[in-house]
Formats: sequence, C-alpha cells, structure tokens
Amino acid sequence: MFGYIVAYKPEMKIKDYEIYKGIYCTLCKRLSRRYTPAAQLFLSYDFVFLAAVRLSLQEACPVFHKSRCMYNPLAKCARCDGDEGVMDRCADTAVIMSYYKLLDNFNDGNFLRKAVCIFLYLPVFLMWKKAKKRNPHVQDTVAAAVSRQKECEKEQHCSIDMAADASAAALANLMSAGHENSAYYESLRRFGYLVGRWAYLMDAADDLARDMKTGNFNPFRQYLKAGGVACDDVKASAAAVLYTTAGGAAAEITNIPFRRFLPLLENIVYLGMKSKTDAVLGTQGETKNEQSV
Amino acid sequence: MNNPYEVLGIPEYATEEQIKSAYRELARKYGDENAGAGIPAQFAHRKMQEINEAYDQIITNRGASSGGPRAQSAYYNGYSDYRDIREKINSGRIEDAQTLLDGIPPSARDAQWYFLKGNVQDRRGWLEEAFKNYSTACNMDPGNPEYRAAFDAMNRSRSGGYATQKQNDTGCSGCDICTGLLCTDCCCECMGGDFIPCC
Repeated sequence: MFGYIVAYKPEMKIKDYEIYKGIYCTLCKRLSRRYTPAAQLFLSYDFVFLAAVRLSLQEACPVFHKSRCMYNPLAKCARCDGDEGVMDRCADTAVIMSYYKLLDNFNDGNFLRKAVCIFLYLPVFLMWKKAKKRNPHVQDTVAAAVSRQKECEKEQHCSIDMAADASAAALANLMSAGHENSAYYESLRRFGYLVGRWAYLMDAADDLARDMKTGNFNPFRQYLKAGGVACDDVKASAAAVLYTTAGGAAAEITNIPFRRFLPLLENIVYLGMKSKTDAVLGTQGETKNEQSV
Repeated sequence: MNNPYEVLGIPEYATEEQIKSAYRELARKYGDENAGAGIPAQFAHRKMQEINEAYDQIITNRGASSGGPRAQSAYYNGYSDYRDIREKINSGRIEDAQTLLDGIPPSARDAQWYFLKGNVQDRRGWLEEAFKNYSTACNMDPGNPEYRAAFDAMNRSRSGGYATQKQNDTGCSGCDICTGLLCTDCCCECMGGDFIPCC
C-alpha cells in the first residue's frame, strides 16, 4: 500500500477531519511507542483508512481525547483510546509492509537506491522481526501476497486482473479478519478486495512512465504491446480500469453496516479515490507535492 | 406441418445466426422453466416441440455442417445447466459456478455463458475480464435486457460515472413548498390579511 487511499479534504466536515487526524496521530504515536520513533516514517494514509474501517466495525466505541505531541507541542490533537487492538495491528501491518517494500525497492532500484536500502536494512529488519512475532496472521497474509505477486510478474500473459489479485486479496484478508461469522463478511471482503485492487493499480498507473523506460513489470503495459499506442492512450485505458474498480468499491460500501465514521469512509471512497485517480492520470506532477494533514 | 420459417417467425433468407437467435428467444419463452408462468404447460410443451421440429428441419435442409441436425439439443441441455449455475451464483458458491462454467466446451458457449462467466468474475472482483465477457454476451445477443443492463452499468462506471454521493433526502420537496404556502396563508389570516384568496 502506497498512500493513495486518502480523504478528499475540500468536501470534509470538520468533525470527520478531526477523526481522520485523530486516527493518524494515534497510529503515529503507536508506531513510535511499539517500535522506535523512526518507525513513524512507515505511516501512510492507507493504514489510516484500514484503521478507520476496522474501528468503525468494532463493537465498543473508541474514545477520543485531546493530548499534545512532541512534534507540534503547541497544538493539541485528538487521541483515540479503547480501540481493541486495532491500532496496534495496523502499526504492525505498516512495519511488515514497509519491510517488504524495502526488499522490493532493493531488487528494482539502481545503484543509489540499492545503497540507501542497504543502509536502512538492519533497523527495518529488526522491527520486522518484532512485528512478525506480534502478529503472525498479518505476516502470513503479506508474505503470501508478495510471493504470489512475484509469480504473477514472471508469467508471460499476465492480465490486469491476475496482477492485481494478490494485493487485492491481501487487503481483503486484512480488512475482514475476525469478521468471518458476520452476515456482512462477503461484502466486507469484496470491499477490501476492490480497494486493494484499486490501490495496486493506482501504483502501477503512477509508475507507468518510469516502468516504460526501465522495462520493469507493469500490468498496464499489455495495452502498449497490442497496438504500440502512446503513453496517453494507455492512461485512458487505465482510467477506465481504475474507475470501474473504484465504482465497485463505492457500490459495495452501502452493503456494510458500519457502526460509526460512515461520513469519513464515504468521503474517502466516493470522493477521495476518484480525485486521486484524476490527479494521477491527469498531470503526473500534481501528486508529488501534496501537503499532508 | 406449418412452414418451419413461419414457426420461428423469420424470413426464408435469414442467416444461420438469425435462426439460432430466433430459436433461442422462443426456447426461452416456451422452455421448461417458463412453462406454468402465464402460459399453460400443455400448450407450451406442444409449442416447444413444434419449434424444435421447425429448427431441426431448417438446419437439415440447409445442410449446416457444424453441429448437425440436432445441434439445438446442445442449446436445450445448456439451458438446464445454466439454471443450475445461476442457482449456485445466487447462493454465493462462486467457485462451484466457475468450475461448472469452465466445464462447458468452447463450441457450446453462447451469450448466456459469457454473461454468467462475466457475472462470476464480477463477483470475484476480476472486473476487466468481467467487462470483456459482458460485452461479448451483448454482441452475441444484443436484444437481451439482462446482459445489456450489466454491460451498461459497468460501462457507466468505466467513464467515472458511478455514484459519488449518497442520495440526499434533505432539501425542499414539492410537499414542503405547498405546506409552506398554506402556513403562510394561515398566519396571514390570523393577522387579518389573506395570502391565498381562494382558501
């Protein structure tokens, strides 16, 4: 997951924004406490979304209270308590995923990137070992997805659906774990699957220009081979795929009985995903200098 | 016996495709699964026999090479298989439905097969393959509203036209406006005036 699943701030209400920020701050704090302060670098908005979905499905209501944080001592921000382990689990997920992303970067990168990866490897490895022991289920899910992904990329005729399947299934598992016996289990799985699929394909669309240059695997390249079309045409096809996936997720959200935070989740799924799609496919530079909350 | 072309309701110069689609339409109307729903069972059965004979006769006369004289039986068996597959899809047994669908040989795959295959892939989240299969189903049987609806729904979201906002039920409806006017009238009358003279 790479930070594509974000809220669309202009349409947000202040209360939803506060909750969003509160979950972000709590996750950040938790990463720092469970691992090291350096682990806060692993935090991305995807994990905030995952935490929001899990929090909104748990029975006990999470409690928010104001507290200060050392990075911005002047402003108080909301801190979430009573989360039944959701935050810890999301923090572990962030660490485990970052470890695999580092390995992936090492394999794909040029000399400079490789050097940076070697430099970072030991601390990340130690944190990963800790996270693995704490949350074996998350570790198994992510590891399975990574190895399936590698197999897919080796395949000669890898379709878009096939390429996205591993990441999508991983998010479906992470999102629906523990809800196996509920009536909405299938809906929740499909929702997670489609959001995961969308995030994977967004990453692929974002990297398209670079992958075309370096020759790395990219699921959208199949459009290229067929008729030798230009990058812009590939983007038009990619837009159709991304919109369909986001539309599927938007349709599925109505079938899940979220206990709370529904406006926040709706904002992310209805508006955030769409505007992010437009931003990535429209002008590539736009996403790079986006400010954080 | 009647003219077989009249039974199927097609002109004598109809192409093989047209014959097949006309047969499929009628089989859907009078086939076993529909008998009893609005059409008396005995009549439907007789009609179905007539349609089968007419179809056989046309195909034999034309000496169609593929499928032979009883090509239609493949269709007819196909229908009951599909009913089974549809039940499986509806009860959420997607894997079973997929296995059954893959078991049907490529030569016997018709529009409904592609539609159901698309449906199975849609459920699994394989939306690209699903879209391809829906569009194949629509091309093979353009008149079918079920296939068309699935294809159109997907096509809409491909261009970004999916619902991005929940239907808002707050706002001013026609009833609200009328009630407002009546209230204004009541208030005016209390004060001695009249907003709506006729009531």
